[in-house]
Amino acid sequence: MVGEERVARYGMVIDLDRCNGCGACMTACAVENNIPPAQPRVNERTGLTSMRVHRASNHRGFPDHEEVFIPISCQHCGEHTPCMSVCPQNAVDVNPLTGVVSQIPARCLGCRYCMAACPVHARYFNWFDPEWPEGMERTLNPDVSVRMRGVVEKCNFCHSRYQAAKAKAAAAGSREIDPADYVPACVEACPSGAIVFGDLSDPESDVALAAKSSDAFRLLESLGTDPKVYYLSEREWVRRLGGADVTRDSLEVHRG
Amino acid sequence: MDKTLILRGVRRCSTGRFLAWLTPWTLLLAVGLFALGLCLVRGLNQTNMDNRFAFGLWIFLDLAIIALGAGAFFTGFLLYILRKDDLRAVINSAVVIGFICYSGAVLVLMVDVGQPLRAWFTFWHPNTHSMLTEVTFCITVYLTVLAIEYAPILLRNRQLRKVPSFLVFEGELHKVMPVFAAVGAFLSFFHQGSLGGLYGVLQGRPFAFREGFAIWPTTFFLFILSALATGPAFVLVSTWIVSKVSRKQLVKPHVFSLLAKISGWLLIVYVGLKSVDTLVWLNRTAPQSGANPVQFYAWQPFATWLLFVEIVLLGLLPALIFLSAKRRQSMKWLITGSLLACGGVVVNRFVMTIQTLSLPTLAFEPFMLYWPSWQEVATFLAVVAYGVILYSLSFRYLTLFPQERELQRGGGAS
Amino acid sequence: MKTNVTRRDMLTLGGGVAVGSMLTPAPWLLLDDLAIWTQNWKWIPVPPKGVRTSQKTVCSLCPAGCAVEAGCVGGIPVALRAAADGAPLCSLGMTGHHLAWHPARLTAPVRVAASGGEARLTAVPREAIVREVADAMRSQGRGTIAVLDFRPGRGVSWAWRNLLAGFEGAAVIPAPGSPGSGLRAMRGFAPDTQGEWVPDLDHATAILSFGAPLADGWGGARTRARLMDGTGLRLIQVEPARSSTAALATRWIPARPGSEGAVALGVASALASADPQIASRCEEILPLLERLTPERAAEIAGIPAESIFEAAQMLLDHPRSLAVPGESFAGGRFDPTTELAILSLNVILGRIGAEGGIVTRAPLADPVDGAHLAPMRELDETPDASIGVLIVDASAGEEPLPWPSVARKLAPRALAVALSPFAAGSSLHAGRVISVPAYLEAIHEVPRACDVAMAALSISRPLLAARVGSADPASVVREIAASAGVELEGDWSSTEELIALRTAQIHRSGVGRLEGGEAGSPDELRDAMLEGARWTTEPVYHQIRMSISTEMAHRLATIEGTRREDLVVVPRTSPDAAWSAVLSPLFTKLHQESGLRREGGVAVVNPATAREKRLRPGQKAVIRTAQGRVVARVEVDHAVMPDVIELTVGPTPLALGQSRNRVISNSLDVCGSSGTGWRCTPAAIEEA
Repeated sequence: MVGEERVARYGMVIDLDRCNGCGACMTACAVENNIPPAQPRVNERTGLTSMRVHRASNHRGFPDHEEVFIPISCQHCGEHTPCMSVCPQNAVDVNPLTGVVSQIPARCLGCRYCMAACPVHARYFNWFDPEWPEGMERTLNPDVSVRMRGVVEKCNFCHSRYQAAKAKAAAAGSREIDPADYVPACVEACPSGAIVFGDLSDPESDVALAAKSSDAFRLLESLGTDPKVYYLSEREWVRRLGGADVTRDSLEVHRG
Repeated sequence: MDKTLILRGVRRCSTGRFLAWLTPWTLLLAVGLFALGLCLVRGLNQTNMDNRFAFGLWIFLDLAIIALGAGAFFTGFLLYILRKDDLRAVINSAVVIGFICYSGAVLVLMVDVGQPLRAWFTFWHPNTHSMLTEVTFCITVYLTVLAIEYAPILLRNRQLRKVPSFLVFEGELHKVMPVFAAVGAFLSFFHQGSLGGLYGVLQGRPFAFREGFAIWPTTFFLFILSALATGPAFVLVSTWIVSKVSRKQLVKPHVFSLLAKISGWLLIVYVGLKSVDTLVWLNRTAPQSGANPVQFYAWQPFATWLLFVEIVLLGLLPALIFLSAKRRQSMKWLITGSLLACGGVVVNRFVMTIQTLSLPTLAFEPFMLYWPSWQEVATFLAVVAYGVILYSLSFRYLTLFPQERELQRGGGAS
Repeated sequence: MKTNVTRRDMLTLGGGVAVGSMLTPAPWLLLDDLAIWTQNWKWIPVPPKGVRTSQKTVCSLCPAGCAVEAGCVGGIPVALRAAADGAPLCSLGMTGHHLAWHPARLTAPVRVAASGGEARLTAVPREAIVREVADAMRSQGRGTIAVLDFRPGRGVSWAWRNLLAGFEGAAVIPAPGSPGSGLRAMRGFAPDTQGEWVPDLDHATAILSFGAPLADGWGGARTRARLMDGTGLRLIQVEPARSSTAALATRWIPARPGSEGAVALGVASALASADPQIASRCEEILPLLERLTPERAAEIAGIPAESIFEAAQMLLDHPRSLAVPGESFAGGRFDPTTELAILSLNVILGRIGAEGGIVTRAPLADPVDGAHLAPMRELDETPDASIGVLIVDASAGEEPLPWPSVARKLAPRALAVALSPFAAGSSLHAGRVISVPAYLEAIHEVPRACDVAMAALSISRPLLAARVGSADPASVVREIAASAGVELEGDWSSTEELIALRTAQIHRSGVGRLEGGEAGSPDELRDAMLEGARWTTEPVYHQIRMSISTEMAHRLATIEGTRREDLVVVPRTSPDAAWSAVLSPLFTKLHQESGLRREGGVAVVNPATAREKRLRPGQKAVIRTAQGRVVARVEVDHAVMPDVIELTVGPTPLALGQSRNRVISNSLDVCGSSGTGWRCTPAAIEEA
């Protein structure tokens, strides 16, 4: 307990057997967080997608070929948070009350050391100045600042929505927020309900129960960073995708 | 025309020829500054760096030139602290090269960050846990030290030393030079090490992550050692290049020999420790993170041959060359060995920056390559051009090689 | 005493000033300012400030008509969410509020000239276009008049039919490939049916689906939810790729594209052998079914025969089961014969009019009763080179369509006019475009398409002011009528008035109920609907005995000769992106910024096919069909069936607001052959 406020550990469980790769979570994240659309030159390697759905397969031939879609955002590592310990300006804040790892774009120098440190590549750099078609800036979310170029950003579990939930609770005279009021954009948008969000330290919550499932796994757990995003799948080949052993049968080189 | 600025007793080419020499470098500098301007004005999308390759050519070359520029502090340390007086023949040149390397690196770093105007944030909101904070502080202070070490060389110019206050100032400085050398050595140890520590602490990158002592991973010490080992070699090579370009004998041969011997001993120790570190990393550290060591060398072009080249071809081989007294007498062997050693440190920095980022960390992401854009290459060439211009001016108007006059008089016009 | 100010004094002063100023706030404030400037450069957009309100409306971008709650700042929507208890909005719905500001937005009517594959636009007054259309309509010998209506069923749709009523041969062509359009083929069995044919999926316990993207919303939200839950619904999905629907199905049958008709008849054959009652209903085709056995059909389709038996068994075991032909988002309908074969399964099973089978539903009440209306006519029933005046109504959205299949129907020197909010998609093919309001700028009706059994209607309330140069489609109809001297029925001059008339009719009829609201009077009904309530009906069941006619048997017999093509091209696009000519620029997240979806113009082949045709990934290849050729980038993927090219259709850079070049053609144009749709086209491919 810190002071009188309850310490929460916000986390997610994503059911990979329900995710069909529709990308609604990605779109919702971009709308909520005022992420600018890409310039024509941008590609997969320079895009800004704080929530990003990756595709993986079981490497079998047709018709046994199966795919899985893996939504990856910041995993909000709890232990030796890699990005926080390396930032020279302390532009990464690990909130002791929520466990949420936030980026402070106004403090960020843009050295990108945190991006090299993140094992799941959940951090994105603003390679370009943000630009919307003329008039479209009127549709921006007023609760989220627009970042300038040259700074790093990432998922912060929709911090503005947390603030709104806190404000609502405060207006009602309560110190604790109502879980139903704090729902990140990606969770809200998923049509299959594949993403569950909540307080992992509350043993009764959906997310805590789901995280204890035998089908649950985390990405790169062996690195010891204690991420707060869990994944679920009944398929063993999918669970193995979370391992740090990345050897595979065929040699691949991406179009560099 | 500028004869009065040139030291008496040495020969320099005519002003016209000198300007002709400077012209292409000035043009290169201009092009490079334009590229640099593009990056500052339009943003880092002018480079080919991306979210996977957050660090690219600039960081790799920064680390490489800082390692090579280590010759500056190490030569100073050897001369002023360990009293290896023979090195007085090259200390000035080493300091100028060091100054060029560090000022160039700092310039490139200013372009490499997304928000250069916020560069002072690291000093204002430092994160004591971060290796990069340490690097920033140390490099900034060390650049100041290098400037202070450069000052006396500048002030001893034929015309400038006629100003009495400058002469006095220079004399005072000279008295405290050992202090600066010691401070510089201390700072250098730390930031060379921290640059290695930058990668060694990356828990999320099993390829780069190393165990270590207290808060310092083994790469901290290996970077220091490799920088110390190749510093003298780079001083050797640069002196040789200058003497070839200027067609003069600048130092006595036994100075080269001494530099090579120092380099050789340090290299062999480095190769030994590096090999041990590599074995520990492959057999213990990486498996403990859950990674399979095979995955580090499973993709061309960064396969095991690169490891072999780095440690054996560009590490062990030059060490053996330098340790052989017979080879040390031959200029050809000395230069070969120096080039191999310098190449080795460059490859090591490449492996730690570029190869680390090219390897996938997740099972479903691909191995990636990266090619720098012309703006990145041009910016770096601007630094090279700046270095050549500054060095050329220093060589022409300042005493970089005290033995030159003596060799010149001794009928040694080559 | 003379004061001698020396150089040393100046240096000392300077040094003192430097050190002293460090002790004042000045330099630190300057540094702070510097930091603030780096956050607030003038060119960084600032989020809007203003009063926050929440408005309810309905998404009209596709026929699903999801209820929307819009968060607005200063009256401008900044966030679109599902209204309480509603299905979450798709990516298109979530970003719909961007469309009004899309770079391809048209704010004035234009003339389009094609030059070098690109469209050049010149502003033209709307009156000029209206006059030109009216004149063309009146002139004889030019050809018939047709309206291509991408969203049939609206009040405006009725107005077009009313406008065309007096012209001989004139007809309204419904969008050729939209969801549920395949059910229109039931007319082959019952030409005199009043009302629309629809599948009663919600009450079915087993579905044999031929390519229907049920997991992507085909068939409605309830069917999708039942599929996701995995209980109470058996699904066998016949499809060449493992789509999300196929992944959720009880069984996926990877039949070769083009063999679906054979699979359907194979199932019929198994059914006829198993059940004499079924056999009695397909007497005319029994000889055919004896030849086209399940084994033979399986061979044609490249699947194991057990799959066919399993499908037949499922249909037999479940009294409330049906077989449906689905429309793919880029490929549209199957060819007519295949549709008949699939629908015939329902006929021989006796599922016509039964609960959980294929039923009819009454069309929505017209705004004005008993008006003269021009007929609806399918695109492929329109004779080639017969249309002299074509009006493309894309005012409420549009779907991918290979323009050559429309162009084929145009007479030489035909006049084509489009109504569209954007200079993209179908409007670039027309010679003239009348600019109309974009989504959220005007009131729209959202009638349910024919993929759900309940007739339903929602109304999408505008949240933005329409642009000055945009015209209400209904008023355009009025203007054309006035200019052409046609008298229209009813007293209306705008879409809003048409909607008022229609809601009054609905209220008068007493049919149906209001979901999410209450209404005692026509005005209350309309107001409730404007707040997001949906008017809906229940399916009506009355068993209809049908059988297969001789003529039908002749048509079905052609399936026996289904040839296995060497290579076919199958168009693909994403479900949410298929409903609009343009997408919010944020769709780059899903395409170029992540590679989650492929951009348009990519030919995806199985590695075995790539090896056989000597294609290398990343290289350009030329795909040749009877329709023409297109250059595409090759990608290999084990997810694609061998000997099939999956050709991605969109989005184009123009659709994403990325390009100023108004490229007219689309990779889809290479698909299709006369009268058989564009779902699967024989093709050849070679590296460019």
